[in-house]
Amino acid sequence: MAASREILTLYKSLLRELRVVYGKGVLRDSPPYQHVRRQFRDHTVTGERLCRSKVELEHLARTYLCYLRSVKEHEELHAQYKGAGERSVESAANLVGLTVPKNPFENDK
Amino acid sequence: MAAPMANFVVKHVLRRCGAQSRLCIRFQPIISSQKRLLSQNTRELKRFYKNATITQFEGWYEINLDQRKLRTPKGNLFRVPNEELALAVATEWNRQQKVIQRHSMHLTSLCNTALDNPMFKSRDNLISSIIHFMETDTVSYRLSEPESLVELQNKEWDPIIHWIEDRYEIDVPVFTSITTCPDIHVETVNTLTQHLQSYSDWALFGYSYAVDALKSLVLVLALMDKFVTVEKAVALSRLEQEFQTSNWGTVEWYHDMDVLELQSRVSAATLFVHWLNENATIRRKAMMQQSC
Repeated sequence: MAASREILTLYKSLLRELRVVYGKGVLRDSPPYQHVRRQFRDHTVTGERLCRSKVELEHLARTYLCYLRSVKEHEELHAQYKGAGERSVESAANLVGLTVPKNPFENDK
Repeated sequence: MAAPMANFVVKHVLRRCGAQSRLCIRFQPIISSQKRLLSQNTRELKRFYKNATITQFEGWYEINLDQRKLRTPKGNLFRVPNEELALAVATEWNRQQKVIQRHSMHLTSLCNTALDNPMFKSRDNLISSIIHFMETDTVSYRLSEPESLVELQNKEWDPIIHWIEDRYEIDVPVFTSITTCPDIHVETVNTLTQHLQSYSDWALFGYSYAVDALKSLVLVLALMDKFVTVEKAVALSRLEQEFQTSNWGTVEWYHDMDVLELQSRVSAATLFVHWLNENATIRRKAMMQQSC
């Protein structure tokens, strides 16, 4: 297997992203894992025959890695910054340095 | 309360843009179906299945969520023509946690769009809307100041334009003013139309999605031909913002999220087009066949 170090790193990162999805235990049995493994095995460049452009597979693998990573990171940021809904009266008042009386009818008595 | 308000806004818009406008004609029929889709989509959907798997039926690949078959928003059976695409969609469903985040399932939504065709677009419609981006392509509009940005634009965008011009034998115009009337050669339009005609209907939806996201046909062509990576294409598309943020810094909840979202959209579209176009066969060498 004459895969360069870059390709190996790419392969490992892809498997790492898949592990996030499927969990450690079932990863090896999951069809996407087996598919990625088969793709990398089948398309390794042999000395005699280049079955498919190496660039093409690398580009595809990089694109998929980019997809998995971007979606994951985007969701993390989204969860961190998404609004929690409308502010309560108390917190809105607090924004401008005011407080809401605890019992509004206290002064009436 | 919300519904009458929406009606009012719609009527108001329709009145304002006049009866002859093309926008109105395309705008009207969408509204009722969109309302229905929106009412379905805003509801939070809990994860109701354990495993998403794929099955093959009559040459198409379907997604099973446990025992149920996945369906599109319009109720059609969800099926795709390529195994890898089906695997990627199943992975997308498998990665959902307690609540299903439909907004970030770009591959699923691309397949849904291709299956349902909610905007009733024909092939010719799609192709002309994709080529339409050429007139206002991001890489065609250059600034005249500040100088360092002009230099950066020339340095980064010119090689892509030259490569595309050589590859497709077309002319990509470059402007420095936004008031210049775009003038695309008829031959350029013909060449691009011919190129796009060679894609399947499904792949055209992917093209249109990518062009919408990057706001540039030149970058999409370079990306689909594997001349640039997704990250590079996104960076080139946001070149001016990249320049400004390198001076003034980034804000995580805006810039970083913007980049990540764009990257996920563009990479989904690239994968989609690639898998639909692909027709690879593996031929093993005789010795390997024996050992297998």
